[in-house]
Amino acid sequence: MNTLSAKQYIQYSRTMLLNDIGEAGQLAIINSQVAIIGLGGLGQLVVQYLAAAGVKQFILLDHDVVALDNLPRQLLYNEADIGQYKVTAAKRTLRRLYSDIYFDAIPEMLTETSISELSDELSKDVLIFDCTDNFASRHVINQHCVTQGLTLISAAISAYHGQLFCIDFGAKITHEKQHGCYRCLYPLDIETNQTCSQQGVLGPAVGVMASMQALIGLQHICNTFTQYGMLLRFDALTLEWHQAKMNRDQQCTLCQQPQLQEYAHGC
Amino acid sequence: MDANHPSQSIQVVFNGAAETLKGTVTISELLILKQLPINAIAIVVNDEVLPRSRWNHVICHQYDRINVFSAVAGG
Repeated sequence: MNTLSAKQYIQYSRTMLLNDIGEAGQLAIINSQVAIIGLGGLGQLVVQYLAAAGVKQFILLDHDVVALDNLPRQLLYNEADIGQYKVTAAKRTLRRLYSDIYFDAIPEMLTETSISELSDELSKDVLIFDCTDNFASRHVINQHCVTQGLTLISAAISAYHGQLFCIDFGAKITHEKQHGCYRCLYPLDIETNQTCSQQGVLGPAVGVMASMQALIGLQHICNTFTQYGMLLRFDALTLEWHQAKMNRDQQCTLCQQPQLQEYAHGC
Repeated sequence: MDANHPSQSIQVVFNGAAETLKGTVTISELLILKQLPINAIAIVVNDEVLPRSRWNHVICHQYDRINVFSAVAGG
């Protein structure tokens, strides 16, 4: 799409009033492709914000079904959806609201095999949102994004602790800006019981992290985001945010960062 | 990576609280001292993530700000 319709000018006027976004940014949002992996507390809100903002193409991937104890924080679903795949319920509800949006709903478990089978769909120009609920999936997504040079926006929360970061693995980065990857932050043997099902979580706290993911995603699409490789930590009890620059683990066998080598050789 | 004298004390801020460390203490030794599970956390020193492979090699310095980020995966 190269131009906005009259209706879209009105619909997205508040977004376009932002000087650094404008019509070009709104068109970028409309022409973007997004994959949301995990349609639980994080993913179900990210998809709603992005669909409302104008994103027209979504890949939704989750093998989980809606359960009663999801409903206090997963506001996209209701009791009638219980037992149905989350991606199916999400697609059905969102299509009622946005008839012009394409949703590819994939009710599959994420594994190294399944993500490689989806490599055509999860390829360049698709913005990846990691909204999963376990370390194994997070490592699989990270590996795919690193090897395919994709942009990853990852959030997690359990109890009162949320974490969030965005890394553009396709960017040419200078030596000083080596962000590393998820494996540099949490090696493969990471082990903890910090999941929502074990530790509990408050719905609005999940919403804060999901809103941040969506915000970063829109900023990335509009080229206004600058905080790549910054780990943000939210304490939902004290309401404090901390941030830390992510660094590459020189022993990480995954993120050799071919772009970095290419950049170094090109200089 | 200058070592402190064994009798020398340094002040660090650990998770927001002032802490006195005696002698030369690596990040790994500090985590043992604090009985923290190494495979369930990330360490941030002076607002930068310190990868785990460096924990044995990096020594705590005067006025370092050291924070523990518990690993979370829920969504």
